Amino acid sequence: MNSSEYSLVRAVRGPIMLIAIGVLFALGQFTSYGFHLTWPVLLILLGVLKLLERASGGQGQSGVNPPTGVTP
Amino acid sequence: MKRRHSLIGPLILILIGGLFLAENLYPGSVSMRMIAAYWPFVLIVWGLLRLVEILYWRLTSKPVPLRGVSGGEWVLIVFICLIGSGLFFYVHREPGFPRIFTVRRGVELFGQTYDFPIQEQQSAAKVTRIVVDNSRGNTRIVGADTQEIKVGGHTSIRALSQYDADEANKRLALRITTEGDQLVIRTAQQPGAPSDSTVSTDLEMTVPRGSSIQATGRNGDFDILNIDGGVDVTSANAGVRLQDIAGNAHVDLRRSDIVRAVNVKGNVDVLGRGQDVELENVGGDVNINGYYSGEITGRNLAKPLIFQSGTTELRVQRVPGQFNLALGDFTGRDLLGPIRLTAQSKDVQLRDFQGEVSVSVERGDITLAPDHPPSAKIDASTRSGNIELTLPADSSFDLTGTTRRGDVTSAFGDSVRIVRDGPGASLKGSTGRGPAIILRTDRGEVSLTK
Repeated sequence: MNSSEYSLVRAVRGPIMLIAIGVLFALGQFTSYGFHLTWPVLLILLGVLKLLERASGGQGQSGVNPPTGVTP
Repeated sequence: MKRRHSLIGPLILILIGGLFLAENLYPGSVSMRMIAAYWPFVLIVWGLLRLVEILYWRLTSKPVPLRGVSGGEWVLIVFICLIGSGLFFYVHREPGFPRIFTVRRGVELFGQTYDFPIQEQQSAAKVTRIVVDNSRGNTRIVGADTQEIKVGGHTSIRALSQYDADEANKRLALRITTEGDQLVIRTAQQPGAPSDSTVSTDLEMTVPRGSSIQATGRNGDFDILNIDGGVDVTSANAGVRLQDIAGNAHVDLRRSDIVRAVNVKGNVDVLGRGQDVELENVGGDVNINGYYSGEITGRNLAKPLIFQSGTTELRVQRVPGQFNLALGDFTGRDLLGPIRLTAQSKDVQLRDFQGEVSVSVERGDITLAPDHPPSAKIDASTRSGNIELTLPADSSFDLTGTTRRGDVTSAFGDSVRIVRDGPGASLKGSTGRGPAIILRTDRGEVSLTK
């Protein structure tokens, strides 16, 4: 189950980043916290997602448990 | 297994088609302004849908894709962000201004300027020193016979909307604090305030004239008038005008277009880089040190002046008259020696001077014309240029003039001997018991006239 959890976390990374980008741009439109101020949030979020990925069984890019754990 | 197809592509097509259809059927219903404001929600909805899709696939035990958002999709997202931001700035550009960028003070800015007035007043009894920190904006400080400090002026905020400007103004606070005998006025910004290139604060202050002033800034001019104490100005980029200062003035600027000091009783120190420096009626020592590309002018300086800028060095004991030092020439009238000028490339003209003179340039003509018979040594040398010395007819001197390549002329008849030697020539002679005069050029004429 570990490897499928890993692939799930890995798969949702893109959508979550996408939502975050959208939210930051929307904040920039409607509040005074412009994207030029808030962009580091994306780095933090990416770091957190990477950590989750690792916690769910991934070994990073060169792991012994390659991300092709589930083949189509 | 067949590749799964996402819902996103079709939905984006439906959205774009729907927008065009709405605009065609009901013209004006879809405005640029709307798209410019709401485009980030396309990204949010896109991300949410994809997230739901992945979770759904997972729950129905279908294989989850390796990447939630493919490389090609990221490229599309970047394009949407660029186009969306571009639209936003296009819609919010300054009305009547066709360009997206407006250039002001060399910085590209967006939006409109919103002004917020400043009005503060505080007792300044026991205050002897006033510290002003205005990082961006002009500051005018006027001394008066008062025991109060009045701060007026306004904060200009460049923002895209009145709302943004109001929010930014809330985070800007003009703070006035008293620390012992020191009063501190700061236009500091709190974190989260917009980048300060969009904010500038112009201050106009009336302060007790007996206090001394310490002013710092990063970008903005300082005008300081009628102060009995010392004045200290430090800024990265400023024009500074001081007038009627009884104490010492110290100006340290990393860049400036002008430093002007008029009617300063104390010493004047000017440091840093800049263009023009104007000094008039200074009672103390003047020290200018740094790189100045414009004109340095001095008028009525009662004490010694030392100017050092790059390869140019000028020292004058007193300036009852005036001098002007520009990139290519130096002119002085009614100066008191010892006068010492060293420079690379300058035409030098000195009239009506008294005392010892020493001029040394690499390139340039030297013209010296004292109105009194010389009483001290005159030494003028250039590598390339003519030297002309005009002396009163009753002068006594001990003169040596040489040119390695050129001619010499003398209007002092027999008392000065002319020797021509190959391409060069020399003058030698003395009348009475006078000071030494040495004129030297490598290439050029040496002429002695009455």
